[in-house]
Amino acid sequence: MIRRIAILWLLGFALWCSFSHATGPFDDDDDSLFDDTPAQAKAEKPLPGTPTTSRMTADAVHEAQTLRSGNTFEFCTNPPRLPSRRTVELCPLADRAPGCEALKARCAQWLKPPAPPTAPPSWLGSIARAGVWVLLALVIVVVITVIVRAILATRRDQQLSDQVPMLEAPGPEMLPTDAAFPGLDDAEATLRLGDQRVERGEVLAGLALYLAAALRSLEKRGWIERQADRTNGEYVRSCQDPAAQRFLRSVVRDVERVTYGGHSPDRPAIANTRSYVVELLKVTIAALTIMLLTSCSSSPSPSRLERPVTDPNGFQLPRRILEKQGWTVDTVRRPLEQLKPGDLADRTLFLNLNSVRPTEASWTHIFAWIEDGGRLIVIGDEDHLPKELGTPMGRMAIKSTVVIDPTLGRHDPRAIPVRVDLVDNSTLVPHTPKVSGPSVTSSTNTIAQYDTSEAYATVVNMGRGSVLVIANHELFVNLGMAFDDHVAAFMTLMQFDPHRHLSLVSEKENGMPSNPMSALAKAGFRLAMIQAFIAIVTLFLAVGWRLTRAQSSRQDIRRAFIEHVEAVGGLYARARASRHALRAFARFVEDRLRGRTQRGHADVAETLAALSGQPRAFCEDVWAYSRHAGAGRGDTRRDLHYLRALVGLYRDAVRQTHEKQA
Amino acid sequence: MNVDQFAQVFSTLRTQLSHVVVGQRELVDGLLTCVFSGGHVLIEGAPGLGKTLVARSFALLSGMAYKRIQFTPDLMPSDITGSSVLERQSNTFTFVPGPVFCQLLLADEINRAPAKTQASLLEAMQERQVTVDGMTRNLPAPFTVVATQNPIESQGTYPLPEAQLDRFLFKLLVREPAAEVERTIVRNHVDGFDPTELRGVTPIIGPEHVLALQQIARAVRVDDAVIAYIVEIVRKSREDRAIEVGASPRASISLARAAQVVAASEGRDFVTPDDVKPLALAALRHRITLHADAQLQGIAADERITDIIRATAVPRIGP
Repeated sequence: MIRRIAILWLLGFALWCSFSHATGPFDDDDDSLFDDTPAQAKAEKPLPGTPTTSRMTADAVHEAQTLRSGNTFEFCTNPPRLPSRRTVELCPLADRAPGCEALKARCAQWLKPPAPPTAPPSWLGSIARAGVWVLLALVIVVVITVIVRAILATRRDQQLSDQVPMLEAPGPEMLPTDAAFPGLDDAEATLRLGDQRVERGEVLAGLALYLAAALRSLEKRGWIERQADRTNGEYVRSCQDPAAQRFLRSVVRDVERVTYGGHSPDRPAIANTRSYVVELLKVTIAALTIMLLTSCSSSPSPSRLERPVTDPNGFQLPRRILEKQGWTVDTVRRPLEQLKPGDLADRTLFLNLNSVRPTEASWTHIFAWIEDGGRLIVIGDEDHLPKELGTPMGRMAIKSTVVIDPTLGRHDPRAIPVRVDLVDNSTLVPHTPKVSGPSVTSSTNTIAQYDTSEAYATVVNMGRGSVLVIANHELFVNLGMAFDDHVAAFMTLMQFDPHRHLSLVSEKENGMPSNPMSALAKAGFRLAMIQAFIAIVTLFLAVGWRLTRAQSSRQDIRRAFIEHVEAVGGLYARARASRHALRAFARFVEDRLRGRTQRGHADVAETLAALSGQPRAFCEDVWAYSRHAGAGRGDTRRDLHYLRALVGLYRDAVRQTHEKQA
Repeated sequence: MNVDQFAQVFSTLRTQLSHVVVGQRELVDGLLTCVFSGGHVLIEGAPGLGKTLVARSFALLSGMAYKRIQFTPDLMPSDITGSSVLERQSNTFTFVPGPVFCQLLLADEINRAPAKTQASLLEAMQERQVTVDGMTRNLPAPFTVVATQNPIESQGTYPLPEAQLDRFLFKLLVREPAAEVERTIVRNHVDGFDPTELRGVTPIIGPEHVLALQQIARAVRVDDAVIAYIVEIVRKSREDRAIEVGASPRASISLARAAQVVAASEGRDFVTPDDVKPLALAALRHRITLHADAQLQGIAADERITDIIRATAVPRIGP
C-alpha cells in the first residue's frame, strides 16, 4: 500500500514539476544567467509612489554605489578564474572602470596569448583512444557483471526462501521481536502484520511491530543501523533526517508508554501511532525522491542566496538596482512559441540575444504578441535581429560613445546629468525624444546613438505594442554598473517599461541547448523524460534498493549453503549418482519431518500426504521408491523423476506448514 | 508533586549548576541523579576541574546543610563522626557531633585518609546513622556524601576498599574541559566570578523538597523487562573473564534507582532501557575488579563495561 502511495506521489510530484516548469507562465526564481536573490530584493522594494525620472536616476546611481561597496558584488575585486567568452569581451570596459584593479589584472592574464602547444606524437593519440575504449568496455563489463550477479543472487535467495523456509518458525505465543520474524525485511509487510495483530486485540505485539516497521524503514534508507544492543532512544538520536527523527520519536514515545509504562492504549492512540509510522515510511521515500529530483526544486538554496557575485558579465547588479527602484523582475519559464496575444499584458519582456536566439517561429509569436500591445526590450547584435527589427544599428563597439538625451536631468537639480560615456569623456549630444513608453508614437525612433551617428537604441512600434532595440549589452551587465553614468543611462532606457515589471526570457527554455537532455526537453520530450526518470526511480526503489543494501550474514550463510548444494549436485551429476542423490535427499526429508510427526506415528509418507495435501497413494509410492532405492546405478531418468516429485512434496509440505502458522 | 514538576525542578537545577560549573554536564547530571536517588557519589578527577565547586553550588541551590572534610593521613574517625567530651561543670560526657551530621557532606580527597578513617563513613553512608560510644544517632535527611579523589597522585594515598566503593551509587570521572569551555571559564573569572563566594547562587528548593523529589523518583515504574536488562548487564560483569570481581546486586539496585531519576527528569513515569544504558558506566566502573592479567594488558574497567553493554541485547517489548 505504502509503495503504491509512494508511486502515485512520485507521479504526481513529477507531473507537478513538469507542469510548473513547462507550462507555468513565470517563476520568481531566476535562471542561471541571472542568478540573484529576488525574495530579498522584493523585501527591499520601496513604498508605492512614482518618483520623477531624474530622482529615480539619482537614487539608482546612489544605490549602485552602495551595492558595489558591499560584500555581495565582488565582480571587480574577485573576478572568476575561468571566464566566459562574453566576460573576456568586457575587458576593455574593465580597463576604465573605477575600483576594478583586480579585474584588470585578471583581464591581462586572460588576454595574454597562450603558449603554442607542443603537438604530442600521433601514436600517443591512438594509444590514448584505444585505452579509453578498453577502459570503457571494462567498466561496462564490470557493471553488467555486478548487476547480473546481484540479480542471480537475489533470485537464488528467493528460491531458497521459497523452498526451504525456516522450520523453526515462532509459535503464536511468542512475542514479535526481530528475531521472531527473520523473513520480514519489508517495512510495509511488518506494518501490515502489526495491523493484523492489533485487529486481533494483541495491542502490545501490534505496537511492537509498528515500531519494528519504522526502524526497518529507516534502516533501509541508511538513516539508522539496527543492532541488538541499541535502545530506541539511541535510534531516535542517531536518525539523520530531522523529519524522520520527529516521527520516530513520537512512535517510540507511544510504544514505550505501553510497553514499559504499563499504560493501556486506546484505539485512537494506536491509530495515532500507526499514522506516525505511515508518515515515517512516507518521509523516507519522499526524502530520497526529493534528493533525486532536486532539479524540480523551485526555491533557491541558502548557499545560493549567500553566494557572492563575481562574474562581471552577470545581470545581478542591474537587476538589484531595478528592484530597488520598484521594479519587479522575474523570469518567463515557458518557450516563446507558447506566447499568445494578450499574455503577460502587464509586463515587459527582456530578451538578450547573446544567450537566447529565438527561431523564426518564435519571432512570429513574439511579433503577434507585440502587435497585441506587448512591450519587448531586445539587446544584442544586429546580425541576430529579424528583418522586422532590422534598424541599422551600431556594432558592439566599446570604443564608441553612447549619448542619451541629457535634458532628463534638468527636472531635478539633484539629479546627475544623464550621460553615457563608455570609454572616453566625449561631448554630450542632445537627441530626441525622451525615452518613455507612453510617449513613443513613431514607427521607428532612434533614441540613442553613437558619436558616429549609428543608432544605439531604437524604439520600433508594431501595432499596439513596441520594441526597444539596444545595440549591445554593456549597460545590462554587472560591470556596466561600475560607471555612474551608465547607471543613469540604464535607468533612462528602462523607462521604456511603464509596468515596472520586467520578465526575463529564460535561457533554459529558449536558449541553445547545452546538452542532449536540454535538447530533448526543448523538443517536447520533457514529460517523457520525467516519466522515464520516475520509472527508473520506482524500479530502483522496488528492486535496486534491495540490491544496494548490505547482505546479512544469514543470507551469506544461505548463499554459501546453496553453492555447496549446487556443487554437490554437480558432483552427483558428473558421477551419474542419481540414486545416491535420491537416497540422500530422502534421508534429509525424513530427518526434517520426524520432528513434525505426531507421537506414535512414524510414517513419513503419511506425514507428507497430510502436510502437502497430495494423495496418500502418490506419497507412499514416491517415498517407497526414494527411501528404499537400492544402491548402485539405476534408471537415471526414473530416479530423477522421483527426486523431482519428492522435492515437490517436501516443498508443499513446508509451505503448508508455514501458512498454517502465519 | 508529579514527574512533570520533578522534571521542571531537575532542569532548573541543572541549568543553574551549569552556569556555575561550565562544561561539565555529565558531572552535573550525575550529581543530581545521585542526590535524587538517595545515593552517594565519588568524583574522580585532576585538581582544578570543579569537583568541590559542584558540590558546594548544589548545596547552596538545594538549601541542604553542607559540611566539608578535608581528608588527610592523620584524620581520625572521631573527627568525622564526632565524639563525647567531658563537661567539667556537670562532670558528664556530652556528644559533640562531627561534620558528618549534615545533609551534604563533601569528603574531599577521601583517599588521603587511611582505611580506618574511611571506614567511619560506612555506617553513615549505608544506614544513615552514626554509632559513637555505643549510642546510635540518626543523620539528618536527606543525607548525601560527595567524595572526591585525585587519580594522579599515588604517594600517601589509600585506595578505597571494595565495601566502601560499593556504597557509592556512581563514580563520576571529571575530564579536562574543551578549549572553548576553558575560555568561557576564564572569561567568567576575569569578569568577576568568585568560586569562594558564589554570589547569586541562592536556594531554589529546600531539603524537604529534595526528600519529596526522591519519593517521586521512587514511584517511577520499572518494567520487568527493564529489570531483566539491568540484571543481565550486572550479571555479565560477574561472568566476564577479564573481571575478577563483578558488580554486586547493590549495583543492580543502584542502576534501577538512578534510572528512575533519569526517567522522572524527562517527565516520564516509567523507565526505559534508554535510561539505564548511559548510567551503566558510572554505576559499575568502581564496582568491578579487573584480573591482574587484564590490568597488565592495559584493559580499563570502562572498556570492559562498554563491551558488556554492547553484548547485552536491549529488550524490545514488555511482557
